[in-house]
Amino acid sequence: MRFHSFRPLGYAAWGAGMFLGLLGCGAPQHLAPGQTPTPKPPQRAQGEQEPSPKLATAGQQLAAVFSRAGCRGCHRADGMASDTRLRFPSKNATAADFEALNEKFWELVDTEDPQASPLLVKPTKRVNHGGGEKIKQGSPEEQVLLSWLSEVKHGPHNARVLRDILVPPTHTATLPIQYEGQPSALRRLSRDEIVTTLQVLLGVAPLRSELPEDPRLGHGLLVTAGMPLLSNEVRALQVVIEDFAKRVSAQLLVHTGCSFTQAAQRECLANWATDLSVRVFRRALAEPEKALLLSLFDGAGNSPAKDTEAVQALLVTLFMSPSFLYRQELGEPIAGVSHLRALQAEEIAGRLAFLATLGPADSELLAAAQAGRLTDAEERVRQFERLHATALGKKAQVVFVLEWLGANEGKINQKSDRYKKDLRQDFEAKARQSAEGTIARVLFESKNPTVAELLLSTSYLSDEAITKVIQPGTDTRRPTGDTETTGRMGLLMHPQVLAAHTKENGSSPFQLGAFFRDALLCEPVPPPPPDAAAMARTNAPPGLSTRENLEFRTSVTPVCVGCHQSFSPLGYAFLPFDPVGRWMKHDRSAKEWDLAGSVTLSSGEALRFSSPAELVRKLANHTQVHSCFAQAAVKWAFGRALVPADELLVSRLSTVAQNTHGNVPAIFHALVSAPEFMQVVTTR
Amino acid sequence: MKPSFPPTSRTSSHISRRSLVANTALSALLAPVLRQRDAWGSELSPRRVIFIFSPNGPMMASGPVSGTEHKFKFHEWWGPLARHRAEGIFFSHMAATGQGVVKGNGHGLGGQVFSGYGAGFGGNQYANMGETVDQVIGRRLEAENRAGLVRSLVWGLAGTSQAGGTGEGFCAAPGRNISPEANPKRAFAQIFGRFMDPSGKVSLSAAEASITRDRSVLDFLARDCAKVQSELGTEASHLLDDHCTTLRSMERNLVSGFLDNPALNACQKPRQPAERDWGKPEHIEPQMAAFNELISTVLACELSHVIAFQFAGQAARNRLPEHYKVPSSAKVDSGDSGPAHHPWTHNDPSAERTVALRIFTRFYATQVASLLDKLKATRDAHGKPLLDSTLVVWASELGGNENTRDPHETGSLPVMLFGSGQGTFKTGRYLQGKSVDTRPAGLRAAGEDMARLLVSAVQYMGLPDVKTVGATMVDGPLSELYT
Repeated sequence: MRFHSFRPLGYAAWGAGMFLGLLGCGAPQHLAPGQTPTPKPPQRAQGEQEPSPKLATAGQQLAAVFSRAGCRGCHRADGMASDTRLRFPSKNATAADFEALNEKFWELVDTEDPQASPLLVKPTKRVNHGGGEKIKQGSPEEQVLLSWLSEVKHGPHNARVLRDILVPPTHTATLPIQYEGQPSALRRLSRDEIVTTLQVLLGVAPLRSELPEDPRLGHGLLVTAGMPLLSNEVRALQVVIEDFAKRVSAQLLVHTGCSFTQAAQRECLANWATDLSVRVFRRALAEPEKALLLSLFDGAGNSPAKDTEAVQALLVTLFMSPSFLYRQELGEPIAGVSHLRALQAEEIAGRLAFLATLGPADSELLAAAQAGRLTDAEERVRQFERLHATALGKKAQVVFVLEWLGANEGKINQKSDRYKKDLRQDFEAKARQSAEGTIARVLFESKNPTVAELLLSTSYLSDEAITKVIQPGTDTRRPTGDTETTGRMGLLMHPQVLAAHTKENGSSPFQLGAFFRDALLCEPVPPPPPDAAAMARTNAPPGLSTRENLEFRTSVTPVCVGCHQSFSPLGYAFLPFDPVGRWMKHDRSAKEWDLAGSVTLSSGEALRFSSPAELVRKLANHTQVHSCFAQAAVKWAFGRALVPADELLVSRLSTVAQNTHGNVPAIFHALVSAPEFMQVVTTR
Repeated sequence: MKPSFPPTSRTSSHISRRSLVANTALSALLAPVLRQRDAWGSELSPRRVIFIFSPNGPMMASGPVSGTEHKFKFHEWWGPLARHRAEGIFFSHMAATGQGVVKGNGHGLGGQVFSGYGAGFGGNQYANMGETVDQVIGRRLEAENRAGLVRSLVWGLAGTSQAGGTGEGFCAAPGRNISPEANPKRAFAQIFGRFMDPSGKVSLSAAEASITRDRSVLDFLARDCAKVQSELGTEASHLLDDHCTTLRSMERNLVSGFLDNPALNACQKPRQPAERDWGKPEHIEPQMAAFNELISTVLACELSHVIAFQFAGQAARNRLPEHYKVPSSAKVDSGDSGPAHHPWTHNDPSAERTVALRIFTRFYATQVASLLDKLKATRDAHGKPLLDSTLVVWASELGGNENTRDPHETGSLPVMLFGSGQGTFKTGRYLQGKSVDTRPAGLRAAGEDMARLLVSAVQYMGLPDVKTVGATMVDGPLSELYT
């Protein structure tokens, strides 16, 4: 087996015959596991001047940047940016094809002033760019682009040079990786983490819904790194914590076992408080801190009421403290590496514990940390497995899957009344329970705890709450109920997930389609132009089906059509689902549902389907979806979007995901055992 | 063994009996404030500001009044405000802040009417791009020790979690929407929860112990925040600014400032709002009444000088009680339906649409009018009506006029300013905005005027160095406002 132009950049995993993009002059091929790529002869036009070695290297690096930024998603023959000067060729491109692209492309390069080149100013959004900011200003990726521009100004300017930058190298992931993350050593505890921690430490916690909402942007995974509490959140949290402390302090006082008086009681409470504070802060207290904290017990020992007041004040102090509300991942310098720091033992334990259980490290994990055993990958995996097997660990895995699917917040109660009128008042809670149960059955009871199974499981179909949605509805004007066409399966068709990505009324194909493309395929859809709604065509001819009507309305310009083609068909397949997940039997036009479609992935592959069930099956078994899940795991573990320093880890996890059909434990084991798990990317 | 309780200088400091007695009438033992010291010693009251955001827009009418500057009549939809004619400056045909300067359109632009930013980022064109002016003012007042107990408050009848939509009307940082507190009982708890029972049932020694304990708590929290900040270096120093400043301010307010504050002596603790499901539209009227009470008390007691209030968030699907008889909209292109504000803005013109939009606009106007009544009736520590020193700015997310069919009209914006600011602003006038010229230049000029209006509000709050808002690039206040 020979990989043409394979560059030995250390991504050996990518050479294992898994999901390799093939170099040569074509775009990468997508290969089934075990399949080997077919080498292609180099295509070179006669008489082309070769680029200098320096330019060639810069070109290959730039190709990787373009690949990760997902430029091909729009800048391809059938993409929304097909009529621009930048076009990535198809995988079967010939030398003549590159020649055809050559002339227009060089208009993007300003050899007099490389920094003014449209090739630089557009993707960095210094000027308007329909696809938004694909390369961050000041980022290492931009530096690669600048280096290439600075080299290429000396020439040559031919199709050979063009080929270097438009064909992605084999060592990079063929699915695009969006580097939108901002590293931070500061991790805010999420609502789930606060509740879990209090449950662990006190056996009681405020309701999740009482706490200030987690700050969320869009429907993606929750970002906790570099996300401080704002002034209004601090004040809102204070009211909740004070109220909580007031409610539970008497009960906790009993729990302390301190039943003395005067000095003996103060001493007993002080010891309890010291122990508790160490666990709350995940570190030992300095003497001045301890003195301040214990001063809260100055009045204790005189009466149970005074003791209760002191406990109350202690709880407010501990649980409003920044040392509790934020986790710090400071790390220590690594010799010769400026952008990474090595986490200290307790920090590794904290990261591992919060990933595994959404709560703090237990005594066994802390003991392993203190003994220096967490630098051993096998020990980390052992600890992780141990924690994952606990009730909290299982809950944490369920929460992650819901976060991945953008469904960790209940949305059913926000739907219009007419969709809820036949449902019990607690339907939202029951639907959540059903989704949690489905995930649990796949991850903890099934032989195949895989992404594929999560997307294919039918175990929830018999859940009482869900049967209410599946069975024929009572509204004779709008008959609902699953049919053969529905083929309901997997979490994507679960009411908890559908409700998370639908509007309060009717169908939401655009929202669902964009979500599928982003969360499952890791190919985010660029934001619509600000005036998209105003641009929509009106006066649709009568008699159109819902889909035909939407296609008519969005067929304004080739750009609109191109962009919608990339995600709308995914949503059209789910058009019959109403906002709470019922299957509407008929389109309002009385025409048959048209649920078939096709979208082109950034790799050039066409994903075709004739029904929602087929779409789900194809997604469930697609290696790109498995890889994308692995990306989500990295984001979840680090509490942020990806940064370039994550590339190697993401590549390795993608390989694991593809090799194992998206085996969830295998992905997490690979993540926890990776050296990157012991490091933090720093901005310092 | 006797436990060790090392004394600390701050937590063991004595609160004098005199200082406690000085506050007997005011019930605010634990909520003293720093006041705008520059105002005391003069006859002027401290300055206050309220920003009001109403969602969506009237769509079919461009402003509250029409006529000439001094001779104008009220549009029927804004009729409830006619009784405040003398205290208002009424604009028609303004435009979303920075229109034509800041990129964006629709809710992504109109929703940021109080910040002067444009279209969103990260795949979300609706995301707020930067802080709103209430936050700018509050932060500065706090830094200058003249914010009061709370530098700014964001309250409302509904946030997006209650009424849906694309985001909130107020924002603390890029992408960091502020969910307004829509539950008056919780809003009460945040401000007045620590106030002691004024009936005198709490003994002075208990009060003293309570204050001492709270000071210990806040002292610990502020020190802990500083510790975390210092450990994380410059990055976290920036990130935790807001958190640590809030804690320091809470601590400072406990430590000093309440002994000689006439405002607190004069104010009465409001009645605690009842516990009920405040998210239900049926409760909107008592909800608004409770907030009017809270707003006027907070301002009169100088617990805060800056309040942001939203009827609902951007593109909200907010509803009114059934007795308003809002017709139910069929499903529209935006996917929503029912007797809510947003779907009616997406309907084609019809008599029913006019009815619905009139009901919503009149509802907002009625509530603003009753808030103004309350501000007129409430006296501050100087014995003057609150409205004398309180500037109220009400802007709609979107505008509209009889001719537009755009459900996202960011021109033709109705905007109102109430309160003369103790003679700063020349009220009782109608000013026609420049978006009456619907060409880009007209829209741009109106958007810049809106930005200048916000600069005027910021400068009124004693911040004359602030000359622009958001990304609008304007460089000064709106001169037409002044006497």
